[in-house]
Amino acid sequence: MGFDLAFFWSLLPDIFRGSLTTLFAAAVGATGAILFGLVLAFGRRSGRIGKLVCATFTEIIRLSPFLAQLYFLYFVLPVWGVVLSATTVGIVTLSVHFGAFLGEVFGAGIDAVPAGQIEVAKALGLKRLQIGRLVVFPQILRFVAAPTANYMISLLKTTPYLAVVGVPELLGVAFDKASDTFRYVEPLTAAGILFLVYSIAIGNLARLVERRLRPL
Amino acid sequence: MLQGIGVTLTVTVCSLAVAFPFALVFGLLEFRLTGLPRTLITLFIDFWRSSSVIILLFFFFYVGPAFNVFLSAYTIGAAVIGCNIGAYGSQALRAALQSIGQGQVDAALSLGLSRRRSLLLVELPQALRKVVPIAGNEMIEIVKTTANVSLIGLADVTARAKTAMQVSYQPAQIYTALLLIYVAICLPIALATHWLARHARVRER
Repeated sequence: MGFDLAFFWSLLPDIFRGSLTTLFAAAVGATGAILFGLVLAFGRRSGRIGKLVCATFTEIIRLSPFLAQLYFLYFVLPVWGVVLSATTVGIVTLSVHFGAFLGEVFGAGIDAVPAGQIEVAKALGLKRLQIGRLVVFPQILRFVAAPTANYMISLLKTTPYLAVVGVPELLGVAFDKASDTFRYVEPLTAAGILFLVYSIAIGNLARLVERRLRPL
Repeated sequence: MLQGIGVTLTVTVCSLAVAFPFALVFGLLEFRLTGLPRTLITLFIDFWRSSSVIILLFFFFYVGPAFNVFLSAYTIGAAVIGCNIGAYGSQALRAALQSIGQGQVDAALSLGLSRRRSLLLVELPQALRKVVPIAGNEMIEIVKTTANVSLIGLADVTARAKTAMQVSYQPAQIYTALLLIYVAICLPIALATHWLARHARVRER
């Protein structure tokens, strides 16, 4: 069969358009994951029931594959009367899956700020909000920057799974092209290369952020 | 569905058999080499780390035959998952090796150990202890990643769950069971890792 270069070039525009869906899903999913992670991190630190619920939930998510979770939400939500588009289900799964991991990171970040500092800030006459904004938050941010960046990279690398439930992202478009023409080599090569470019770019961006926010 | 667990475990064990040697060899090489050879090793590791497992699986599954390379889905699954997770592991091992104090190396050399023996007898054992928790996490990661092989035609638990769904439309029960099966496989590994990590911790002085 070999490699048809002309066919390869002709595929690029469509696959690039598909990759925009990938980036969109990754961006929304990342935002959702950070918010959900914060909920879990604070939930785990508020009362016994909150702790039990959040901890059990976190462990189930962390110990089962993304694909199984995606299938779960995709097939089970409609049974419960929640009908969402494949893209929405995909973004929700990304948020839930990575939210569970980020919740642990944020939790560790919160615990890493010594209680003494808050007492000192109080003694110096700072208000509660000021303590949060000026003392606690900057330190948490520095602490969680590197691991969060790593999870963002794996989040991007997880988006191709959405193709499995029919989201027309990078890999989904590549497969559409492949089944139209019965040529798998060129679409999959294009998808692979484009994806490698994206993840290397995000990886470098993450390294930049990490360097700026290195823990003191 | 339960029959699929066998396939999942087989792929897990095969991937482990690829991942551990990969991490050990490339972690050591990246630690010891310098200059161009090191850059090449880093590029190779980064290739496996930067790509998505699902894309690599499809790539080797569909592109191989086009160039007359016919590999079984088992082989492709184990190789891709093993190299991907192994690449992550190699970084952990390299970081652990780098974290060992220069004093240890100096002491080993001044006691007359060669550079290689110092690496094998002094640095590596300490580094391996340090990576125990990471290795445990990577093992769990491998179990979870094997769900992907359902997409290239292997009848693992995930694939069987999908078939079961098509036979009897009961997604809630089937997919809850699927999630719980994975938790049941991974939880013992997580607990064992916790226990081992506590006992293997390097005593800092």
